[in-house]
This record gives sequence, structure tokens and C-alpha cells, in this order.
Amino acid sequence: MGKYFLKRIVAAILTILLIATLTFFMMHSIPGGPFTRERPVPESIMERLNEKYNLDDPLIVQYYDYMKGLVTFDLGPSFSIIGRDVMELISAGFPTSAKIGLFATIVIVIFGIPFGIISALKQNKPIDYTVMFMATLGVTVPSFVIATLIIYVFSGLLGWLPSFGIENPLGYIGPVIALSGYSLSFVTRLTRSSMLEVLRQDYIRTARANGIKEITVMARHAVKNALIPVVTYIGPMMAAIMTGSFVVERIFALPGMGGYFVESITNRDYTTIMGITVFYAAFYIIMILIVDISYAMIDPRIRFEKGAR
Amino acid sequence: MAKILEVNNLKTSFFTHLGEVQAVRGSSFSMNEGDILGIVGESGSGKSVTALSVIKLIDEPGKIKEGSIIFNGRDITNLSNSEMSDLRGNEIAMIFQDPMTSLNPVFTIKSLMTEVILRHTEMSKKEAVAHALHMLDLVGIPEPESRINAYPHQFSGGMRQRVMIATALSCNPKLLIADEPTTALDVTIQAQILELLLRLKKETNTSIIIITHDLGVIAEVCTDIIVMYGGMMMEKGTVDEVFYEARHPYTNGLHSSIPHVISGSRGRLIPIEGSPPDLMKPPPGCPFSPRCPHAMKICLEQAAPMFNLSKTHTSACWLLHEDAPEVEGYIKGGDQID
Amino acid sequence: MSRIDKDKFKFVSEQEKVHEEFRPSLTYWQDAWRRLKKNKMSMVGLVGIVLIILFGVVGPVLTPMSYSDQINDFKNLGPRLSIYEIEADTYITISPDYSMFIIEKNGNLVEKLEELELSGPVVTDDARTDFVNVQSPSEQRKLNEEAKKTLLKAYIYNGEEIYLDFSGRVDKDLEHEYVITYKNREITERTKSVMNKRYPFGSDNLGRDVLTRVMFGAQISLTVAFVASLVNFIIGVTYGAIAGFEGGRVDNIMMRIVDIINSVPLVLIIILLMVLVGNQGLWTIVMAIGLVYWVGMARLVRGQMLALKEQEFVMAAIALGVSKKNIILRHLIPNAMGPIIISMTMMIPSAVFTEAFMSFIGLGVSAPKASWGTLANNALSGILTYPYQLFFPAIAIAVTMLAFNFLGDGLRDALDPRLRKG
Repeated sequence: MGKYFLKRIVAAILTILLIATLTFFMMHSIPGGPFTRERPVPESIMERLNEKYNLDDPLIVQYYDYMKGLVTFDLGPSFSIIGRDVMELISAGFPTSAKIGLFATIVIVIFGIPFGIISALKQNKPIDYTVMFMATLGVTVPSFVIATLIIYVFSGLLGWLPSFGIENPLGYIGPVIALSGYSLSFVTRLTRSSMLEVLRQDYIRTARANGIKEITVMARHAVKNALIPVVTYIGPMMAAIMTGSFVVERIFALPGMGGYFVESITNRDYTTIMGITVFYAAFYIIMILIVDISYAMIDPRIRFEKGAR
Repeated sequence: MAKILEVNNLKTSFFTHLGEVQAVRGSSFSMNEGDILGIVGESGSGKSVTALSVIKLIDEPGKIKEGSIIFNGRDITNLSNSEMSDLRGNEIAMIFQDPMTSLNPVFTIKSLMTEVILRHTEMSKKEAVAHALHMLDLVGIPEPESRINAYPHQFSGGMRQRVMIATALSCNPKLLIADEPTTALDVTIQAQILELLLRLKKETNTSIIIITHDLGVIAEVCTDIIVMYGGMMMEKGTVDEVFYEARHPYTNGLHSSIPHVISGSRGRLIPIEGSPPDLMKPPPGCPFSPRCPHAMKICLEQAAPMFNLSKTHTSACWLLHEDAPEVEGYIKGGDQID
Repeated sequence: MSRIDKDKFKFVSEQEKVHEEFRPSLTYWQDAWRRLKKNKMSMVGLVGIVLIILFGVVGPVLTPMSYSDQINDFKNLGPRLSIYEIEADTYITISPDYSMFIIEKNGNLVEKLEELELSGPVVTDDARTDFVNVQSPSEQRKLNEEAKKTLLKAYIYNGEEIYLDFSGRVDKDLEHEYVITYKNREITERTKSVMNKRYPFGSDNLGRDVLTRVMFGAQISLTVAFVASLVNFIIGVTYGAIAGFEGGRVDNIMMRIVDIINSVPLVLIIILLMVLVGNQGLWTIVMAIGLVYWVGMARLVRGQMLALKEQEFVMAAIALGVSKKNIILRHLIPNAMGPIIISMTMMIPSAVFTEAFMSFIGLGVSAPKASWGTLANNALSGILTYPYQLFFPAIAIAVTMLAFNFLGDGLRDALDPRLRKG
């Protein structure tokens, strides 16, 4: 098993480096791109850029400097916000985004999985239809529609929630709901279909034939197997939450990384865009790695296939 | 000798959204302690559903419509699921056809087996593990101490079947139901499993019901046979009676369709023409009548009652009625069992 | 024992025995279509999609205004207007930013009234707009205080002055929302509420017709979605078919590349592409989506290929000397069409969503062309005052995605060979 993990970790690091390299060359090589002199750039920025990036040096040297900077977590100065470093922005915004992302994840797990299981156990009964209907809405209605609905109804009409910011702790509710909406519904549907599939399996019949109590069959034999596909979804779920945060943070005016990212896009702040992109990519790859490792720990078949022979 | 099982007029159907599939349409039989009863028939004859009905593992949309099941003198027909779960794995055990999918892949063998033992006995965890090891040894798993910590996917098909048998027998059930236990296995492994079952039966005197479509398996191990077709029982008797004195056109048809391996002979296989009935719209008469070479008018209209041919031999065929024409091989005699 | 007619014990001939009914056998597609039709939700989805397409294609032809026509006077008016009768057969209506308009009884806007300068303690438009974009609680408090002063505006109509006291809008304790004074009469009750005939969905901040823009947005959003999905299909199927069919090292390398692309959230890649290439128009976003999302289709097709090529009809074709290209095109791909179609049906709402998402963060099509996402983005700042500007495009997006999802779900069930009964 150790060999499997090592291979994956090395692959992850290589991928991150590859992406950083590709991003670098994309930024530098495309005509009309940010680092060519075709775009008018304020003097002070040009000075700092030249200082930082030595734009007159050959590309390879620039690349080397860039990669060196990456390893020391120095992503350079912001292209449009004078005097700010990209890393500063990331450190300022990441905690907020992470907090909201974490809350959203908790909501998804605490509600999605049980609802999916209940739906499966009471298949085709009213509660199943209700849950499935809501879940279908949740996966089809985009997060920004949900977010704006929440603002209009709960802030505008009812005044229960603040319409922006998180100074008021109630301000977390709207963003968390909007952010978790899609994934929560997806997990509910996935858990339900997985549970239904598992309940059809022969080994469930064997457990019953051996006299295991029904509740134990459900809770132990069925659920453990049913959760396996759900665990594989965690990777894409991270991606969904990440990209969802751009929109949600913007709509709710939250001081998170996603909001800064969107701002940097609007302002064409290229260094920030590049830096945050590489950061997101790296974060995502690491999360996937963690998921893969936990997946191997849950499903013994994977463990033994890849591993210690 | 005590009667271990008595089934009266069992009717089990599946109520699907397309209609009612009548899988078992009135089976009655009984078993004595120590019998090895084989239930043989084609796919769709109702043999598996009969077995599942006995252990009451019929799931939605299926239901036992009518009939009674008396196990070891106790009427279990109306027992609730949770009451049945006390019996299952304990006094009645069942093993299934496909060992590759019948063991939960995320638990170790130790975990699976001790769970069952602890459920039905008062043993401690340590005692349960020791007992599990003993059972694994009994069924012929080499090096049980190390293999017990393995996962199902690390075993071959034959080994998995043995593990299933070990688990099923771990609490000393009085009745073991084996649904096509060897169908999914290689011929050589088949022989081993059958031999294992016989050996275990000799040691513990467990009664066994074996469901199969393979007459060869029946011949090897069974003491009594039930032949089913189209959801109904066609013939029942001891192994000798059903093999050598069969008095039902279906049973005879089965015998003729088995290839005989005699060196030098070049006989033709005689299949039974036609195909099994649609269980959603079962014919009103004998289910075999469309394919029967001796079908009579009454056969199309009414299902035949069971005729008592000896204390142990019964057959459901109108040819055995006193008013039926004489046909060679179908010596009449015996009364109807209404 | 009951008496049985001795006659019954006669042998029957073959013809007298019951014969099985043979149901006509359906092809895979006939069976699938039959099952799809039975599924009500998918049919609803299918009809919905057709309606939305009609809405987008035929709609703009039927509306009097184009998507870019601006009438600045009539900006920011909602779809339903309350009208007040100021004198016989003359009606006015008031917009959320307190401009006054002459309007006909049936809802047809006539003209905007010129405003008069007033002296005195009056709170202006800007404060009202500030209400919406308040940056902090203290600013909010300050404005609430300001609002307690009388809020008054004046207009001129046919030489006469009309005064509008709208303190009732802000201070909910006052009796009337509006008090309109004209020719020394006070009008406080509205006559009725009418549909805005000129702007059935309301107007945006430049006086453009939201309905037409939503219709046009349908064209844009759907075109982007369909074309991008088509590009996905072509690239994905080709790539996947080659990888799956060739197998071995070719497959390995090709899938490695796919894995690398998949190791980052695809949205990030699209964002990068859009940022770099800039807004060259509609085709930028189409190509960006098309060039990134094909990986899903490629994976799917490759999987299908791997499974299908082991089947005997492929060996038969090879033995007959059919060329590789033809085996893939004429034998393998048609057999994999089921999952491919399902994938395509689900890709389209994905593309709609991605395009809307991109537009929402400012990277989509450029003005004056607008997709639903752009419309939603533009309307965001005014959500509390002019919610309809955001609702209509948002609902359009949601309805489209719902329709495709229902259809997709139904297709998945209909094309599943395990459920075949025909």
C-alpha cells in the first residue's frame, strides 16, 4: 500500500509543476497576452514587474525565476492593485473561503447522505418523491440563481438575513445554502441510487439469510458499500464548491479568495489570475490525492490491487 | 422419525406493475429429519421461490399468498421478519448459487462469520473466533488462522462457497437449504462441495434441501426428489422411485433428454418440445400439457391432483386416474390426494 | 371425489393445445422511443425544449423592439405598473426611481414627464440608489434618518405642476405610499395595475426591452450550448474511439493526457483561455467550452469501445476485411450511440450553465449582445429594486436546464438495455 501512495504523491507534485509551467507559458507566449508590451500598463507597475520578472531576460530565465518563486510561495506582485502581492491576497481571502467551503461540505454530508438513504429505504413513497423532486431542482438550478433568490426573498422581502457580508453570523446561511445546493442534491441522488443498487446485491440476501437483524443489515452491510461511490464524488465536489465560491462570494460580497479571483478577472490582473489559478489547481490536486487515499482505505479491493504484493 | 418440515398448499406470487407472476401455485410436501430432498426443475419452475418461501426471504413485490409452513412442529407461516431472523442462520440456514457475489466485499471473513455466531449464540468474541476457525477447518479451508483475516475477493469461487457453507452451518441448523450450490462452479469443485455436504450431514444429521436443475447432482446426494414445472409439483418420491419408476410425462421427458455416454453408441438426444408457460397468464390446466405427448382434454382444463402411488411416491398426472386410457409405464393405482 | 366426465379422458391433438402468443419484436430504438414516450417528465422536458427554441428563434421577430434598441427615458420600468388617474382619462405611473410617466389605461407608455427643480429639504435619486448598495451598517443608519424627512418631487405636464410625495414608500408607518397632487387634487389610490405593454418583461437600465433581450439571450445561450456540445461530440468521440479501438500504448498515452486535463477543475481552464484570448465574440466562448469538455465524452466513448471491440461482430468485420475507419464509424459507434446520446443531452445544460457562469463573472459574450448570464450579471446590482431584471433571465436558465435534465433522465432509462422488454 505504501508504494501506491508514494506513486500518487509524486504524480500529484509533478502535475502541479506541469500546470504551473503551462500557465506560465500560456501567459507569456500568446501574442496580445499580458506580458507583451502591446497593452498599456501604468509606469509604477511596469517598474515593479521589470524588477520582479526581468521581462527583458530570455524566457527561460524568466521561467526559472518564476518556478523558484513558486517553491517559496512567492507569486509576484498584483498586476493591477498597486503595492499588493498576489500571495497577500490569497492569504487574506483563503480563510474565509475555506470556512464557507467547510460549512458547505458539512451541510452536504449531514443532510445529503441520510436523505439519500431514507429515500432509498422508502422508495416510491411520498417522502422519496419529495426528496427527489427537491434534489432534481437542486442539481438543475444554477447556484447563482439560488443565491439571488435567497437574497431577494430572505433579505429583500423578509429581511431575515443580511444581504451581504459575514460580519453578522447569519450572513453565513445564504452563501452556505447557495454553495452547497448543487452538491447536496447530487449527493442525495447518488446515495439513493447507490443504496438501491446495494440492496439488490446477493450479499445483502446472504446477511438476511444468516439471521442478521434488518437494522444491522441496513446500517452495517448496506451503508458501508453504498458510500463507496459517494466517496469518489468528493473530488468533483471540491471542484464544484471551488468554482461555486466565485459566484457566491461575488453575489454576497464576501471577502474570500473567490471574490478576489473574479475581481482580478474583471480587472485583467494577470499575475493574480495566474497565481490564484495555480493555487486552486494545486489545492484541488491535493484534495483529490487525499480522497484517493481514503478511498483505498475504505474499499479493500482497491487496497490490495494496487498494493503490497 | 420426526418431520422437520411440512409445507401445505404454498402459493407465492410476485405482484409487479405488469401483473401478478404466479411463481408457486400450490405446492405441498413434507420432509423428515435427516432427509436430503432435491427439488429439480427448469428455470422458472418455481423451485428457488419455493425454497425462499420456506425461509421466508420473499421480498417486495413478492408475497406468500396462501399456504402454511410448519418447521419442526412450529407454524412459521405468519411469523414477522424479526421473529424469522432469530430462526435464520440458527435453525434454518440457506446458501446461494453465486459465491462470487454472495459475500460482502468490505468485511473480512472473520467479521462476517463472527457476526453470525455472536448473533445466535451466547459465546464471547474469542470463543466465536475459535468456533469460526473450527468451521473453516471443517469445510476444508487450508490454513484457516491466516485466511480468516482475508477479504472475500481474495478467495476462489470454490473457497467462497465453502466459507458460505461454514457460516451457514456455524450455529448447527436443523435444516440447510442449498440453492444451486454447485451451478456456478467447475465440475471438479462441484464434486468436492457435494462430498462436503454429505460428510457434514453425516456428522450433524442436518436435513438438507438442494435446489438444482442438474439431475446428476440429485442422483449423487439426494434421498428424495420433487420435480417441479410451471410453478407446480409434478412428481415426488424417493430417488429410486423417481429415477426408475417415474410416472409423470415430464419426469420421463427429463430422463430421455439426458445424454447417455456409452461408448460406441450414436443415439440422438430427445429434447422436450416447446417452452415453459408464462407465469403471468398460467394455463388453467396442467402446466405441462402443451408439451405433453399424452395430453388429454381434461389436462387442458384442470390441473391434475396428486395421486398416491406408494407411501412416499406421488405424481400429479391425469393418466393415473382410473378413467384414463392405459398408457405403458403409467400403472394406475393409488388414490387422489385432494 | 367429484365426478369427471369420461369424455375428458381423450387425447388431444397438437392444434388443440394452447399456442403461445408472439408479440412483435421491436428494434432497440423503437423500444427506447416507446419507453421514452411513456415517461411523462421527459416528454414535458422535450416539449419545453422545443418551446424554448421557438421562443428564441421566432420570438425576436415578433417583438417590436430589438435587443439593442434603447429608449433612455423608459429605463428601469417593471413588467407590471400601477397607474393613477390624475384627471379624466389621463393616467400616470411612477418608476422605482421616481420618474413619472404618462401612460394609457391599457398599459401603453406614452412619455416621460420633465422634472422640476425643487428647493427645500429633499432627498434625491442618488440617496435612493445608495440604499441598495450600502457598504456598512452605519451608512444604512444614516440613510434611514435622511429618509425620515419628507421626500418630494415635482413634474410638469401640460403646463401644470404635479407634486409627488413619496415618503410613504420609505416610512412604512405613513398611510399612503404615494400622494400625488395635481390641480389641487390629491390622488392617493391607484386605479389599477396593468401589464407594461411596451415592455412585457420590463426594461433594463438602458431602456432596452427585457423580453426581447431574454429571447435573444435564448438564441445566444442555446447556440453556444449546442455548438459547443457538437464540438465536444466530434472531438470526444473521435479521440475516444481511436484510443479505445487501438488500445495498448496509444490508449495509454491518450488517456494520460486526458487524466492531466482532468486533474484540474475544467472551469479554471476555460477561465484562463477566456482571459488570455480576450473577447473576440461568440466563438471564443464556444471554442473554449468545446475544447475543454470533450474529455468527458472521450472517456465514455473509449470505455464503450473497449467493451464493444471484444464482441464477435467486430471480429467478423475484421475477418471480412473491413477497414479500421469503417469498423469504427459503421459498426462500433452506432452501437455505442445510447450512452453517447445521453451524454450529449446532459452536456447541453452543462454548457448553458458554463456559458452563463462565464458571463456572470464577466467573461462571456460582449455587449450589446447578451446571453442569459450577461443579463443576470448586469441585473445583479439592482436586485432589490428591480428584481424582474434578474428573475427573467434566471428563470430562463433554470427552466432550460430543468427541461434538458428531465429529458436526459428519461433517455437514460429509455436507452438502458437492461430494461428492454420488447
